[in-house]
Amino acid sequence: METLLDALAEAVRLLASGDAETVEILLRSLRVSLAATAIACAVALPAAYGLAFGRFRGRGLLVATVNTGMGLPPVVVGLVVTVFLWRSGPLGELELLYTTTGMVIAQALIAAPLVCAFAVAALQGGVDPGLRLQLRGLGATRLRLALALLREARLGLCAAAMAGFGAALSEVGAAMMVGGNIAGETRVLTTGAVLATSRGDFALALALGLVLLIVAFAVTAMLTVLQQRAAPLRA
Amino acid sequence: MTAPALTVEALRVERQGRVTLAVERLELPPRCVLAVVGRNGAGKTTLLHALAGLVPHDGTVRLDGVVTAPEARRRRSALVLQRAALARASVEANAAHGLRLRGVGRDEARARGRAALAAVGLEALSGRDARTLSGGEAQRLALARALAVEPALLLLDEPSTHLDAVGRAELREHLARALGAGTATTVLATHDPREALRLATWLVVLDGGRPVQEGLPADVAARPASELVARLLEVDDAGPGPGGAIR
Repeated sequence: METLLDALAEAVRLLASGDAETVEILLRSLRVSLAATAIACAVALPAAYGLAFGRFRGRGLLVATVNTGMGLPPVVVGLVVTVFLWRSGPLGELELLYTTTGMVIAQALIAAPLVCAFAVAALQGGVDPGLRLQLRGLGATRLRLALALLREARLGLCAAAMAGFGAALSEVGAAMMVGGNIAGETRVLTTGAVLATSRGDFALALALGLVLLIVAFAVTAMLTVLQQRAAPLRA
Repeated sequence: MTAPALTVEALRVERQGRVTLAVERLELPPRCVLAVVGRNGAGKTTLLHALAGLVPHDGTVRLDGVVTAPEARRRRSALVLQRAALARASVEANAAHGLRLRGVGRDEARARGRAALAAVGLEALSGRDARTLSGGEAQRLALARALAVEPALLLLDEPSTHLDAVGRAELREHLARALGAGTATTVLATHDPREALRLATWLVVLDGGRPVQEGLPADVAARPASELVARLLEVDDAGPGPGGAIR
C-alpha cells in the first residue's frame, strides 16, 4: 500500500512538473487516437446509415457482423495489421510498420465497428420513424435527408464517437504490435505504462495511467457537453 | 380557360402484384381543395404518396399542364403526415426545416417559418422545444412547416386523425384560413366528413384504390351513390333531399 501511495505521489509530481517524456507520450497518444477515431467515424457513419435505413439482402447478417466486431480483440487486429504491413506482406512496400500511421490504421479498425454498431442503434432508435418519410415528403434530396437524419441522431452519434475514441485510446495490444513501443517515435500512454510496469517503474506507470484517465475524461467530457447542448428540452 | 393545376392520367400503383391504386383521370383547378375519403386501406395514403413522388407508379402527373417526374414533384409538393414527425429542435427551426432541406438560407428560412407559424397561431411558441408541444400544436407545426415551403401541391394525410374533438376543430379552422390565404392546390385525405365538407371544393370517394364517386362535396353528401359513400360521409343513404343532410 505504501509503495502504491509513494508511486501516486511520484505520478502527481511528474505530471505537475510537466515531465517532457510524459508530455510527449501524451500528445502522441492524442494524435494517434483522435486520428483513428476521425477515420473510423468517416467510414462507419455512412455505413451505419446504410445499415439503419437500407433494405437489401444480407442486411441483418451485416449488422450482426458489425455487432460482433464490437468485441474484436485488439491483439488480433494488431496481428492482422502487422502481417499486412510486414516487409514481405501485401502492404509491406508502404513501410508503415512501427510508425504512428500504422498505429492509426490499427486503432481505426478497432474503433470502426464500435462506432458503426452504436450509430446504427442511434439512427434506428433515436429518430422518429415517420421523420424519414416526412423529410422526403418535404422535398429533401438524398444527401440533405441523410444529413438531417444524422443530425437528428446526434446524441447517440456523439456516444458512438466517444465509444470509438475510448476503445482507440485504451487499447494496448495493437499499438504494441504495430507501433513497436519505440521511445520517441511510437510510444503511447498504454504501451509506455506496460513497459514501465515491466521495469518496476511504478511511478511512471501510474503517471501514464493517470494521464490516460484524465485525457479520456477530458475528451469525453467535451463531447458530452456538445451532446447535451445539442438537445435542449425546455418546457 | 385556366389550365388545371393538377392533372392525373392512368395513375396506377402496384404492391406485391396487387393493384392498390388505379385512378384513370383526375383534374383539379388552381387552389382547389380535393378531399379524398375512403375506408382504411382504400388507397388514400397511396394516392398522396404517388402524387408526392414517393412511391413507384405508372401513369402521368401534370403540374400546371406540364408532365412532372416524381423527383421534380417532391420539390414542388409538401406532405403532412397523420402524426406530426418533428425534428429534435425548436418550433421555429422545425417550421423552417422544409425550406432548409430545399437549400434556402438560414435567415430567410427562419423568417418564412415565422410567418407560417403566425398563420397557424403558433408564433408565441416559436422558441419552445418542439417535443414539448401537445398533439394539436404539433400537427399545426407540421402544417406550418409544409406551408412555409409554399408548395404548388399541398398533400395532407389525415392530419386530424390522432387529435381529440377540440384539436380537430381547431386544426380545421386553421386549415380553412391557411388554405383560403394560400395558392397551393390541396389534396386532403380524411376520415372526418366535417373536415371534408368544411374544407373541400371537390370530393372523391375511393374504394379498393379506385374512385367510386366524385363531385362537389355537398352534392356527393346529398346524393351518395352507395351505402358505403353514405356511411363514409355519415349521411342517410336516401338520395337527394333532406335525408342527405350531414348527421
